[in-house]
Amino acid sequence: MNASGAYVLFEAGGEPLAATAAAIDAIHDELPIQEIEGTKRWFLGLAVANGRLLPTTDLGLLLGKRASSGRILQLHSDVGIAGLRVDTVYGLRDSVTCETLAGDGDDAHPAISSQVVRDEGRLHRVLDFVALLQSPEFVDIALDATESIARPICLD
Amino acid sequence: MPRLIKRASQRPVKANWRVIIPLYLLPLSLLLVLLTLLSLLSILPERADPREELASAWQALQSQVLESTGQVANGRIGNKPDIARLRDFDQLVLDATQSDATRITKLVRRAVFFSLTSMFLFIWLLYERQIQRRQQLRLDGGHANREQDAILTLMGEMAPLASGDLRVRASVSEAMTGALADGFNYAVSELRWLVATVSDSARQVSSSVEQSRVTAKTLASACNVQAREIHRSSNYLNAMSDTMAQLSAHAAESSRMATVSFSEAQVASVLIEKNVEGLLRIRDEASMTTRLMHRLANNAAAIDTQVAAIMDVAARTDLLALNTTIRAAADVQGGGDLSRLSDDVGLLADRLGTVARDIASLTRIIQQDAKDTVQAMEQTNSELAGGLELAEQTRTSLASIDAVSRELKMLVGDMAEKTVLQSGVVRRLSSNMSVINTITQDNASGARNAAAGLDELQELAEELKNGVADFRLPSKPMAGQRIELNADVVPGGLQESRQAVAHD
Repeated sequence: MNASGAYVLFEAGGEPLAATAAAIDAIHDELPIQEIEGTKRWFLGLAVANGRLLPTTDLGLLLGKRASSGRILQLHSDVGIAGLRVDTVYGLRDSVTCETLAGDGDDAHPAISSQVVRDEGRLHRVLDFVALLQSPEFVDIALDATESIARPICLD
Repeated sequence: MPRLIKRASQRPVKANWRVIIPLYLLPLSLLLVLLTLLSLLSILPERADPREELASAWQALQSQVLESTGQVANGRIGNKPDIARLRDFDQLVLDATQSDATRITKLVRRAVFFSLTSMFLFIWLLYERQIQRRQQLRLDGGHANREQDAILTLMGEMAPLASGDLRVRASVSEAMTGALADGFNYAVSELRWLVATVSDSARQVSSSVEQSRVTAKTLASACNVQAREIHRSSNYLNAMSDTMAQLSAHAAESSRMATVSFSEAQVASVLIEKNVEGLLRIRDEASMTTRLMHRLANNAAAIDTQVAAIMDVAARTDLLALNTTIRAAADVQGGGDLSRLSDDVGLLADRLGTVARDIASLTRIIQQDAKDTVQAMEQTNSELAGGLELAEQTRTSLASIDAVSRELKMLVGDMAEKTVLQSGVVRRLSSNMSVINTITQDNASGARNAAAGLDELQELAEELKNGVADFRLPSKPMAGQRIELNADVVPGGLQESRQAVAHD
């Protein structure tokens, strides 16, 4: 199935991704984030965006890639209250036709679909934010006993 | 020989008064005759004057006669003194004639007497000698055989001498041949001494000649070596002369080059002065450029700050446009114009961001260039300072070169003059060496000739030794033999030996 519409193209953990523009409420350049003790590494903490608390997650780490260091995508409230740090936001692409990636047998995150958006020679895999936020992994932010020892302490 | 005379005088003579008397009287008689004759002869010189006296008296008489004749012719009669004078002359002639005759007659008679006496004694003596001779002949008849035996013995003892045996010695006896044997022994001794002397002298001459020949050959060889070395030294001197000439030419060339170096040093000093002035101007300009570049860098940094602000604004604008676009996209109804506006704003933000990034990039480039330029200018300043220091050192060195060039010019000129003088000296020395070489070659030739002459002298000494080699000498000195020379006798010993023989 080939879907069309407006997509926001971005990159997280070195992985080119795409998401529907309707799932994103705003994009923040920098937000002060308050870390929460006892949470996993990919959970960066709580930020304040437009007067509201915004739990922020490192999308790259969550997807099993490297840590991201760029803007924060604030998801639409219909999708869920969450902020995702990505590396780079390439922009909004209207009327984009998605392609289905052949051979959907990789070990990617379940929220990453087999559809891709082609832009300037890059293939951005479409990320389903709803599926991501509803995944058990995303909800389980509590740190394990064994993981708490290895987690570095961030002071900023 | 004195011994021979002695033996002859020792013969026995029998005394005979009949011989002794006339033998002693005859000389006495002859002595008397001689005295008489001497007396007779002594009278004659005393009477030599009467003839003159008579001649003068005769002259006086003649003048008296002429004078008287003149007076008679003049009519005057002669006087008595003139006649008395004539009588005195006659008496004088008579006295002189009678006195001499008497004395001569006496002496002649005496001489005749002693002469007759002497003749008598002489005849008597001859008679007695004849009688003695006859008696002696009778006595000698018994000794004839013994004398003959003695002569034969002497001849037998003298025979080996014919074969050169000088060891012979004749027996000296009381016989008639005793004196001959003694003389023979004396002659053989002299001959032995002579042969020994000749042999020893020949041997010494041979030895000396051998040594002299070795010395002459050594001298000739040394002269050859010396001539060769002198020739080689002469060649060295010639080479040295050539080298000195080349050195003189090089010194002259060095003097010229020192002059050129002196002038070049002066030119270089002037150029260094100009170079220093240029470096000082460059240093000032570099300092000014450095200040300008600092200011440019500061301005670029300010621009970069402003650009950073612009970029921040652009990023915020871009983000704002992006969010606006997302909202517009979410609000499909009535959001079309806003979407386009946000797109335009986004495009402007992108454009502004791009321009800002370009400006930032350019300002960074300018800053980097300015920084590099400042560093280069600082490096240039540092190098200029070093260059100025080097220029100062170069100026000092050029001043030293200037002074050294002046002194070098004088020294090289002096060296050139002395080199020319030394070259002349070496040439004269080489010429002298050639003369010395010629003299040495002549000496070598003379030494060779001397060696050849010594060879001939050696041959003569050998011939002399061979000549006396046939003579056989006793191994030990014989009794009564004169002192023999031997090889150990020093040359002065020959004279001493001769003196010893003469004393003997």
